[in-house]
Amino acid sequence: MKVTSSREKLLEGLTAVAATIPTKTTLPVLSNLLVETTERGIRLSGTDLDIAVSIEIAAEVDAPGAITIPAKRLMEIVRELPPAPIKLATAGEQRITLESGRSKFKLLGLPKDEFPAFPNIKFTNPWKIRSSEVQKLIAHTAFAVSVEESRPILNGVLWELRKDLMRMVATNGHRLAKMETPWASEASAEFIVPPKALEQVRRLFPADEDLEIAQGANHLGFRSPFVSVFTRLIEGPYPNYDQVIPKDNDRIAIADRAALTAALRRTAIVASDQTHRIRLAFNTAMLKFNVQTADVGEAQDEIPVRFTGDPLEIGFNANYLLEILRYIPTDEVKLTFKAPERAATIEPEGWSDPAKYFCLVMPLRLVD
Amino acid sequence: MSLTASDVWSRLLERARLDLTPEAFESWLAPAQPLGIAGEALAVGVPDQFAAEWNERNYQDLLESYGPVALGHPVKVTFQADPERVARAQMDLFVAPANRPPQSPAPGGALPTPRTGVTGRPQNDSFGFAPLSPRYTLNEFVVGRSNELAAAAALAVSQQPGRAYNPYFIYGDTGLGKTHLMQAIGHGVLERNPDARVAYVGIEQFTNEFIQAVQGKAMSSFKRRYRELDVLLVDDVQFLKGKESTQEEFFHTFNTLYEAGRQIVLTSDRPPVEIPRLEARLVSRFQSGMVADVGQPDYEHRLAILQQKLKRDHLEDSFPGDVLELIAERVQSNVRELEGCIIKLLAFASLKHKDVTVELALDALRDRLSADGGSGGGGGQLSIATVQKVVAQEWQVTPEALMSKSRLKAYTVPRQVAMYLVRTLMGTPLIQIGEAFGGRDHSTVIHSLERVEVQLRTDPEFATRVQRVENRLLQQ
Repeated sequence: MKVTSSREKLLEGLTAVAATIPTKTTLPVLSNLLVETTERGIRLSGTDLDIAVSIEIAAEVDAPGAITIPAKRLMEIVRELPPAPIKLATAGEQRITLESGRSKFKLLGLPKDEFPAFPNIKFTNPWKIRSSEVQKLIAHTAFAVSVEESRPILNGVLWELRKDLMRMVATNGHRLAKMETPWASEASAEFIVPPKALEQVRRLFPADEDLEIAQGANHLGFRSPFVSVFTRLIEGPYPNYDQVIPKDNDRIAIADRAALTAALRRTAIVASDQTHRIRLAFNTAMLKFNVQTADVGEAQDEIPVRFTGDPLEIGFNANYLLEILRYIPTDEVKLTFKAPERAATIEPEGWSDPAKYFCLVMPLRLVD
Repeated sequence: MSLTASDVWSRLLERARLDLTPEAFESWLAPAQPLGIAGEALAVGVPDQFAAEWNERNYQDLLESYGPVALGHPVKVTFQADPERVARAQMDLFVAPANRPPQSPAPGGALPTPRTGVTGRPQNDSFGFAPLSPRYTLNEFVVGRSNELAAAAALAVSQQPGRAYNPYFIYGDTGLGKTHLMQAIGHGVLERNPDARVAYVGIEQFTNEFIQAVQGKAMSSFKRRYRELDVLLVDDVQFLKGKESTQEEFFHTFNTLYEAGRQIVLTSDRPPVEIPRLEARLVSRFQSGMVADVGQPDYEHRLAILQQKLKRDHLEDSFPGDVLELIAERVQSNVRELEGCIIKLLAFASLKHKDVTVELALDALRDRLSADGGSGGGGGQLSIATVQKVVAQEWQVTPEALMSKSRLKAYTVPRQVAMYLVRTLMGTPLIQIGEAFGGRDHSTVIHSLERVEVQLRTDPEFATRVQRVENRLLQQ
């Protein structure tokens, strides 16, 4: 193999792939990236066996071929080189030389055959989705997944493709985020996708491209003309989230998102480091904040809100509220409640987008 | 003494692991915790209601069907959201709070009292090491000629940790009780002094933690963790070979503990001097205390082991003496194999609804009972060479390539398949397989077997190919 590419292109490709390459691994070849020549240049690929990413970048190919190279070293070298063409050439199955201007490097690689094969996914009849639509769903839901090992199903994002809409749902049992967007399709399908893979999808595909998405035995593949992402899927079933979404919440508050966020951040400073417990009291025109933590201290605050329904006192983990507020796309936010020990909902207020966004938080019990 | 809830649950799990896909097992059964047992009713806690319902629908019958074989009596398994989670202040979408009726009431009526069933867990597991296995006590260890020295030394060590024999090095083949003896020392020490900091680790875990500490720049907490122990039990130190920086760190850990008069116990599959690529200073440290070996049990010893196993499982009455004598006479390889025979025979008897008799045993254990009482190896007329030849033919390589050191994929795949077939068709011990394939370590053989098993499950084309070779071999 003998190729020449610019430092910028190479660095761009390496940065795209590097996030997927594991920092510690028992299989040495996984800390390498695969470099292969293609008709348009070179393809760089990396995998941690759960997720595989590859990206094609422009390069002049003098002799075709392939090799795997230690990813971290290569990236560090390329980053330190001045902007100039970089020549890569293999010497045998395991050695590679890198030259740029007067700088010369020789690196030990591993033969291409040792690199794990990518999952076998046929893109014969793929779903086609605008990349920005998928990325919007990911950005608004993936944060809510569980990191608890004992609930592996909740470690993934549920992605439902229905006839007239697609939807992503994520929850850790304490809070839930759901977003759906109109979309026309014949087929219906659903997957539970690891958030790490979705993060790559969000990061690597240009927003204005059409993505092709296809399913293999236990994998999902995303691709655009230059980038592919493959991921293992989490085996279901996903819990019936619809069952836990309250339909009869009759106390409704509309608040200014920035004011609510600021007051929560202030008062949460004296909340317990473990529970982050904060007490909210709603009545017709005011929302009162009250935090009391033994060994720390107290805080009170209040902001004006529009509230309908009987007055209510309810406890929450302040972090769960703050996290959701960060993703609410409107200036005002609507919260609904039924009772102090029932699920509360949080939604954007006055959002003109065709998408629908909905979050849910379970309260903290107010034991006195 | 009857079994605790965690004993019962771990026995059911052992079987479920074999019958379920790894994904299903890890997702649904591995996170579950036994809560308590009342008579034959076992209550199991899971993270949420959804998991409880799912497990009940999909795995309850399967788990209950293991009862007669795994426990010797029927068992009723119910799942419920863990009471500790129900009581948490942070409410959960999928866990019904205690003061409301649960979304689906757990069937089976009265549930045993929560949490009290979890016993046998040493108090010292809080500092991050896995708890000792409650079964591995000195009382449960059957002493015979082949291990009496090792057992006597273990007793002395557990009575006077750090003083009697330090370090204490136990070696012997796999399945002969090294880990049992070592953990028994831990139990003995804890019995006398429940506050003692006793840690049991495999050398693999030590290595991994060391690497993580180096990468995460957490060396000081790693050092503190190991160097403040009263008793350090390290399993399988032969895997230190070639790992230079781990050896270095282990050397320092060893010295610190040793100089502070703390007890160190080590096991290996061979004596210290025979561990390849182990630094001389470690070899000499390992030999500086007591070195004892555990050997193959003789006939009387094997019989005693079988009797002990039955007593522990409350199965004395279902096994006539002549059956035990038959097994003790014919199965000579190791203790695990002996116990395996009992389990297989029980399963067979329960499936056929017959009592355990010599005839039934001969039928059930055909593959394990060698006619002449020879070594655990050869079944039928197959030889390792034949397997190698036929596999080599199928993959179009030479049989020599299977024994070579080459790690080319073209050779490794058939090599692994051949190892797999030798193991499954002939039951040859791992060490013997390793020797027949170019002197490989038994852990390499284990790895190969796992690789093949995984590929058999995931790659139908590969599976048919292996099946084809197997059929060809069975016709020979």
